[in-house]
Amino acid sequence: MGTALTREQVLALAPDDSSAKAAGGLVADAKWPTLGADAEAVWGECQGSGSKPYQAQVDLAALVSRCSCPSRKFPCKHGLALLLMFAQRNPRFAAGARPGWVDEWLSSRRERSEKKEKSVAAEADRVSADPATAAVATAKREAARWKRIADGTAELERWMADGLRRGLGKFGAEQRKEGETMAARMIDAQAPGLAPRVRDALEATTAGATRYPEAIERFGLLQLLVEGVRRRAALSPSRLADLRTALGWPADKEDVLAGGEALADDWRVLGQLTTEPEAKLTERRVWLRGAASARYALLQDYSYGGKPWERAWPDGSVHRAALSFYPGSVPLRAIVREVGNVAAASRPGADPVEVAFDAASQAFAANPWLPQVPLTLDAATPYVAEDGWRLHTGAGELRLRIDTAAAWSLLAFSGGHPLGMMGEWDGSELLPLSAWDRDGAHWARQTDA
Amino acid sequence: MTAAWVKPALVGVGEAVAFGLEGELGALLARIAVGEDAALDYARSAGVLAACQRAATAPDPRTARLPAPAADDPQALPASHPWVGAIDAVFTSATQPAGYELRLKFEACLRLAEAGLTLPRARLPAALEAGQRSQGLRPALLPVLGARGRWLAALNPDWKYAASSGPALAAANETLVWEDASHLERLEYFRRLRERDATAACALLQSSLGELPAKERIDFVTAMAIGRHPGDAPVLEPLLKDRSRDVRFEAARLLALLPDSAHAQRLIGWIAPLLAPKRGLLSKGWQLEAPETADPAWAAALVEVARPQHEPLGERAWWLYQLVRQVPLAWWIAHTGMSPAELVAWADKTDWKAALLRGWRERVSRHEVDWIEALLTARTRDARAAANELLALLPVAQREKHWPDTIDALWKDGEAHDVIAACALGETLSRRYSEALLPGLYACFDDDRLRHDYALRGCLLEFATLIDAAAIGTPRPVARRADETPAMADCAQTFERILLLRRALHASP
Repeated sequence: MGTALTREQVLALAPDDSSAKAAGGLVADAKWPTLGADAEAVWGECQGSGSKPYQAQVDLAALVSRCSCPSRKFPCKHGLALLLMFAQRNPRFAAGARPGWVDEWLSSRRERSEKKEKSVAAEADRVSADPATAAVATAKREAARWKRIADGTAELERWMADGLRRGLGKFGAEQRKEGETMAARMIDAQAPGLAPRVRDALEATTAGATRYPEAIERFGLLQLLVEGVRRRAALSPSRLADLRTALGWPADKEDVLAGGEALADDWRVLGQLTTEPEAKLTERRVWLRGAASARYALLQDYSYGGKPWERAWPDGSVHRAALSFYPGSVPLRAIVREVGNVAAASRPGADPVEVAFDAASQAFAANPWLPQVPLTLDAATPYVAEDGWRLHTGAGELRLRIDTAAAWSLLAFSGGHPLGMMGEWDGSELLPLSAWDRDGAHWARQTDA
Repeated sequence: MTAAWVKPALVGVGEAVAFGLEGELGALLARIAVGEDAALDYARSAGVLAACQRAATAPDPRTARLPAPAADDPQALPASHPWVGAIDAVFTSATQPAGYELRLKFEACLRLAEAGLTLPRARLPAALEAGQRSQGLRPALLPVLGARGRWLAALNPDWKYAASSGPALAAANETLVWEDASHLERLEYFRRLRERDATAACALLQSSLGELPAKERIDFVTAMAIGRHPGDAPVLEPLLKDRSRDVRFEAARLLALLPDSAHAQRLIGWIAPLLAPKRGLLSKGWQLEAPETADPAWAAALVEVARPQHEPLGERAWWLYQLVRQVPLAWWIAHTGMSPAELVAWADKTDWKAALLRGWRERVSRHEVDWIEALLTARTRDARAAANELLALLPVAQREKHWPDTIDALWKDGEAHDVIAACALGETLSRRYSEALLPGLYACFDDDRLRHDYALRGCLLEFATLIDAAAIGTPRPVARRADETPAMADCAQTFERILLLRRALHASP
């Protein structure tokens, strides 16, 4: 990892601007009485306000850090500063003997991951020990959940039909309140994936005349989900998987690892974003693309209460890894089975706009419930139009979903020249995640925003 | 979704909706419309159409005309440059811009300009925003924006101030500049023209005066001080009757400096008879009298007869002061043969001390260092306030003699803020004075005063930006109290950060 690490990649790890800024202030030899590194980790002691220096260390394989300071940020400024100095090739990081505290942490990390593997294996053993009983229990549980979902979606169907009968133009405060209740009802019905879809449709009815077609489309797609639940027994396995994912009931991770489509490739990290779908809950979406297969893969993680991610995926890095895909008509979401060395980085490949949109069209045709598909465009010029931020391509234009600060930083990056760009396309807007210019310089939505 | 399809859903689906589609899609819609419930059928059909809509995803075929791309910036700070970290840190948008932030940004811009570099593109939005908030930053910022920065600024109305500056302007057709440029650009152009060809500048101003608002007129009239010459009088004379009081006074001050102008002659004609040689038994000296009666001709020379209500000077002193503040200081030296120091000492003994000193302080300019030094020695009731204004006219190194050289003394006498105020953006204290102050600055962090005195905390941070770069040396961690509060810790860290950043910016590239 060491030789590939750049300053931008380190800054991309910062949880917020102020951490990055504080870390910048700590990048000074004088602050660090000791520094060291070996193949697996870097470490250092940073003189803080107390008498005892803070011990900061980073596991280079996963770019996960630990520090003895009391900061709740993760990584803290010490971890970031350590990596920044490492990325500057500070000569004091000469290979040296690892101190006890580093060794202790690294071995505890190793032990924990071994333990986890063991418990997965133990669980598999337990299941295989009595497959018949286990299968019966699972089937019973699933049947009960389907029953609740079917009851809930039937209510949703009635409510939507009532709304259409009355007319969306007459939607008032009372209907919006009912809609909110209906969204909450979907969570009770164990179909949490429907709650945001109901809210989005509801929001489109209140946003003025221009968004009524969108509201109708959203209600229509919800109706298709209701029909799907009703006809679940007749659906193909991949269609059923599409349905379950849309309902918020994806396949179990263990099942995906055991039976999902596996694919080994050199996976390049194209771009990523973290969002906070609810208070305290963070979602991270990391988009990968295989060098040989040209397949996209989405690593989707959730963290509660600011718990650190198991691994960082710096933009632009390439990992030789085996992934297991979740089932579905358009398999995108995947789990990392094993990750090997970092492969040599090359320029990201991009598609001509027509090709990229062909693929997006195929994906939406196969699964209309996909919330978004990845797009990698080869020559796209962002610009500011009267009605907002847009992207110009040789084959037409795209609206951009981007906040003002990020938009100006993207514009500064492009200077009006075409860029390679990767983002999420939701059918009407592109959420740009990363971009690169003809010289190979990189822009990322989050670090520069 | 066509309007015909949308309409039933808006007004209420009462009966079966005909979508009027043929082919496979039409057949499918016909098949799923069971007919029991029109609204439910509509919802299903909408689902099918929405799915088709998604499958037909494509870019918007409209194509706009893109703005021309920015020219290359070969001088942009390269990513491998040792300053990159410091420039990034300085131009990270701060939520609460403090004084020291502005000074750091200004200094960073100056350093880039000295090295012939421009800001890296990733920092341009933050830099342009900083310039939007602070006019003071702009003179340093504009030269380091590069082509990319000016291109970006042109796209954002908030950044218009930066859109068309730079060498492109200087090279452009001059009449075009005058007609289309912003006020600041025209002013800049006018100053340069004054240096090059004062008469041409005069003519240009005269032809444009009629269309300039007062706020702009005063800036141009002030700029007439550059390259002053007798030919200015015809332009300045009519300005004595300008609608704006500021313009009238500025014009009067300038005219007074042109010995052949009618205005200067009139002033001398009034003041000279008031100053008479006095022959004593042992020495000769000068005797000054204030005017006995008001002269109606004064009005044309901006000398007001009526004394303002709260004016501390008496009536005759008020008349005298108004004459003194216009008469060039050089006249006093030439007329009496005394030096500025002797004149100030003489004034101290006259009956008209307050009027004289006040007038001279207003008349003195930054070129008259002898006068400034002399006036600083005068002891009057308003000396403290006056001293600050006088000191601000002196170069930093000459000001420092008048300040105590420890932060403790500066803070105790309330002069620390004067020191800060006296240093313009981009200006630092001398190396000698910085070296004298620095140990005291470090020592403050070990002091319990910082706990409650938030003003001192802010002051220390500004001083960190005023210390001469060469005096910083190798910044050392400040001594910290074990019982420090978060605000103290924050201040200490920021102090260290500022010194580290400044040292990094002054490390040779």
